[in-house]
Amino acid sequence: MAEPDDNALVEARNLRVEFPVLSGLLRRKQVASVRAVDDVNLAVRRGEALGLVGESGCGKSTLGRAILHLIRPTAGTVLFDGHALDTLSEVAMRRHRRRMQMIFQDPYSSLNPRMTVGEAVAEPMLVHGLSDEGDSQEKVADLFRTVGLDPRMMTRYPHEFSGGQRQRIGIARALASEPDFIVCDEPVSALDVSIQAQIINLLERLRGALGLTYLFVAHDLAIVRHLSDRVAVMYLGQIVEIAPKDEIYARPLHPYTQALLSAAPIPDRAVEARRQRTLLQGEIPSPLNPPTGCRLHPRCPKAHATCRAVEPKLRQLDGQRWVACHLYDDAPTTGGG
Amino acid sequence: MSEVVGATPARPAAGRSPLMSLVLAVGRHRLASVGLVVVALLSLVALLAPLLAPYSPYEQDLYNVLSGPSPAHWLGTDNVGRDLLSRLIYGTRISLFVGIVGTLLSAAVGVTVGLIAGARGGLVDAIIMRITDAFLCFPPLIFILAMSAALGPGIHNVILSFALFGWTGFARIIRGQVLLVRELPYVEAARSIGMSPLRIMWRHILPNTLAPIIVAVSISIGLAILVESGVSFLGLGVQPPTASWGKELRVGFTYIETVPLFSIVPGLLIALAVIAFNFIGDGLRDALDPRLRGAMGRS
Repeated sequence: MAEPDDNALVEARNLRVEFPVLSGLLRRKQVASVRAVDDVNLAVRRGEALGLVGESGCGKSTLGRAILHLIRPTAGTVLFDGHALDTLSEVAMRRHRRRMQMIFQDPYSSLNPRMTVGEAVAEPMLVHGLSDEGDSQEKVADLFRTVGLDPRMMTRYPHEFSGGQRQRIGIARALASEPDFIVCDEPVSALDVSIQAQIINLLERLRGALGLTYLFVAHDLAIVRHLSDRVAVMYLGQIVEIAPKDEIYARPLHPYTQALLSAAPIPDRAVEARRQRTLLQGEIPSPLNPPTGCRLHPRCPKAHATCRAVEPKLRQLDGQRWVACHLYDDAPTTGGG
Repeated sequence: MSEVVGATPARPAAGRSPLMSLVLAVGRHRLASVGLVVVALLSLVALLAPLLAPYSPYEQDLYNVLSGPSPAHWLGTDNVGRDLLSRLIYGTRISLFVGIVGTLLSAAVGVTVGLIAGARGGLVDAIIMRITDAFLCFPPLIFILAMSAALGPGIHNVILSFALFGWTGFARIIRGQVLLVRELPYVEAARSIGMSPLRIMWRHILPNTLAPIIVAVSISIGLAILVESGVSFLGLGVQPPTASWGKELRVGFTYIETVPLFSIVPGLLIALAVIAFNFIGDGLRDALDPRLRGAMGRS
C-alpha cells in the first residue's frame, strides 16, 4: 500500500532488503535470509526533514542506505525526483549520486586517514566535474566557513580534529556536490552531548539556507523532535507509524510508538510521576524468524487474536497520520488508504 | 553560523612533503635510525665502488695469495691473490641490487595479485589464494634453490626465483588489507559521492593498504640479500669472477683455519645489512601509523 504523495522528492515503494545467511564450511550455502527492510513505503517530501526512529537493529540505517542504493534493494523501487533508481545504469546512478548524499554516523572512520580534510571535501566536486583543481580550493574554503570551520585547517589530516569537527567536515563533504537530499545516519549519536546540539543546529540552519531535504535516522526521540517535520517509526524492518512531529509526540497511536515515548525520560519529576507508561515485555525478536501477524504482538500489551494471525497494513487515518495496527481497523479511513 | 571552531593542532602544520616527514619519523626511531645510517653507508659504498676500492676486484697479486691483513691489502687477499676489500666493496653492488630489485619485483606482482583477489572476491579470490597456499607449502630456501637450479646459474635468475616465491607474501598481506579496508565507512562514503570503483580502489583502498607493504618491503630486502648469499654460497648465484658477499663467504669458508677474515667479514656484512633493513622495517611500521605520527612528533 503506497503512501501517495505528489510532492515527494524521494519515494520508496515496497522496498525490501534481504541479507543472506550463509552456512557451511567448504561450500557456503544460503540457509536463510534476514529481512532487514520488509515492504517499506515511504515518501520524503521536498524540503521536509523526515525523522526515522526505531531500536538498534530495526533496519533504519539499512533503509537509509537502500534509499540511496548504497545497498541494492532485493525488491521494490526507489523514485528519486521521478527517476526509478533501479533502472539506472551503473554510470547514470553514479551521476545521480551528486543530488543525494549521506552524512555518516561515525565521524572517525568515515574520513580517509591518508587524505587531508580539504581533499576529502573537494572530492565530490572533482568527481562530478563541478570544479577543477584550480577553483576547488576556494569552494572548499567556502564550505568550511559554511559549516563553521576555519578554512586554514584544510591542509590537515582527520586525526588532528575532534569528533565534532570531523562531523562538520563530513557535512561539508556531503554539501560539496550541492545535493537536494541528504540521508543523515545518526549523525550525532557518536558525539558528546554538548557537541550534539551544535551539529543539530548546523543541520537545521543548512536545511533552511540551502533548501535541503533530510531523511534523519536516529534512535534518540528528543533529537528527532527538534529537527523533523514528520516522524516515521520503524520496528523489525517495517514502518509502523508516520505522523507529523507534534501529533506523534502528543498522541502516539501505535503501541510501539507509545512504548518508545514512554521509555524516554521526562526531565520533570511531577510529570514523570503522573504519566502513564506503556511498557513492552521481552526482547526484540530475531529478524531471522519474525513473529506471524503483527510483528509486535508477542510484546504488545494490547494484542488480541487478530494481531497474532493477520499482518496489519499501514493505513491512513485522519489527516496525515498513518498507522499499521489492528487497534485502528475500525477507525474511519481518509484519503487513498 | 558565525562561530568558528578552533583547532588544536597536534603539531605545527609545517609544509613538509609526506616522504620527508616519513623519513624524519623513521629517523626519530632509535633502532631504525641506526638501520637507516647503515643502509645509507652501504648504498654509498655500492654507488662509489670504483672510487672507494683500492684495487680492481679482478686484479691478481700472485705474490700475495691468501695473505692476512697488510698495509697493501687491508683485509688480505683471496685464494687467487685478489684484494678482499675491493671484492667486498664491489660485492655490495650485487647484494643490494638483488635485494632491492628482487623485492620490488615480488612486491609489484604481489600487490597487483592481492588487489585483484581482494577486490574481486569469490572464485577469483579462492583460486589466487589456493595458488599462494601451494607456493607457501615449500620451504622458501629450498624452493628458491630449486628454481635457481632449474633456471640455471646467474644473478638475474636469482632475482627471478626470489620474486617467484616472494610475491605470495605480498599478495596475502594486500588481500587481507583490502578485505579490511573496503568495508570501512570512508569507502562507503566514497561510493556515496558517486566515485567509480577503480578510482575508489586507487584513491581510498590502495593507500590505506600500503603501510604493512612498506614494512614488508624493507624486511624482504634483507631476506633477498640473505637468499642471494645462500644461493651464491652453494654456487648457483653469481658466477666467477664476479664478487658477491655470499660468494666470498663460500670461498673463504674453505680457508677458515688459515685466513679467518676471508669468511668472517663477508658474513658480518650480510648480517649487518639484514639487521639494518629489519630495523628500518620496525621504524617504518611505527612511523606509518598516522595516529602515532602526531605523538611521535611531540616526543
